[in-house]
Amino acid sequence: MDKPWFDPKTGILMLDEYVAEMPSFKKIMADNVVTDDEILTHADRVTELLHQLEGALPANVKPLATEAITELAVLYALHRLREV
Amino acid sequence: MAMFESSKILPIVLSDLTPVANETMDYFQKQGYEVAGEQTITGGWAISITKGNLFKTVVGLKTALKISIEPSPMVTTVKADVGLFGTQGIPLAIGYLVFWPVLISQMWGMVRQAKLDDEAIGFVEASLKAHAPHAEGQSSVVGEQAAYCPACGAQIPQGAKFCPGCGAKRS
Repeated sequence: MDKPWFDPKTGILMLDEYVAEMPSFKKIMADNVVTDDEILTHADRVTELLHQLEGALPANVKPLATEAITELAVLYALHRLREV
Repeated sequence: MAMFESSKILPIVLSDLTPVANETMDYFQKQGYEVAGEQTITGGWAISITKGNLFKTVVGLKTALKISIEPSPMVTTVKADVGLFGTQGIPLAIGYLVFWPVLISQMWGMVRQAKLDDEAIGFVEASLKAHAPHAEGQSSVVGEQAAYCPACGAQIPQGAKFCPGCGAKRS
């Protein structure tokens, strides 16, 4: 998980490339079916990770991390809304 | 106009756009691009060009500059945007990626920086002009001085304040 977020040569985001490598993704997609239980379990995992992150972040970094996560969520929401 | 797209409406009509598409594909192939093209049901062409250092692979699918050459009765529309190599449209699975809006924006930024969209549209325009005989025939350059609606491509009569095709107000 200590991989770079951006390609050092092009500056292009690389986080998307790690999605397919995640054990959680591989496990859920193994049968090509996504069940309600799998989504609920994964939502719990994300919640737990966010709790851990919030507790581990130094006070001076937390506002930046909060802004980055929420701005990503804003961009995603805007993009999806524009497609509707 | 779409968010990540350049386009140009040209007052040129060709009965067959295949020679223009072939020249465009040859041009980029000679520059080391991987190229794919297919004719659309409207008689237009959808061309994809990609190169490793400019476009990245997203969940196993290569991204590319998509060059679309679409005919209509009075004009030919040339568009350049970012999409997937060899396919039309973006599969739903990619649209659901949280990072997709960031990626498409970054790739479009690189395309604009390299002026690849301008180069593609400029080449297609030159090729269209080269294939359009000035005499009456199966192809023609339609009134170079005429005005065309940027929204729908319809010809706008001189002095008209609104487009007769879609009703858009002339700017």
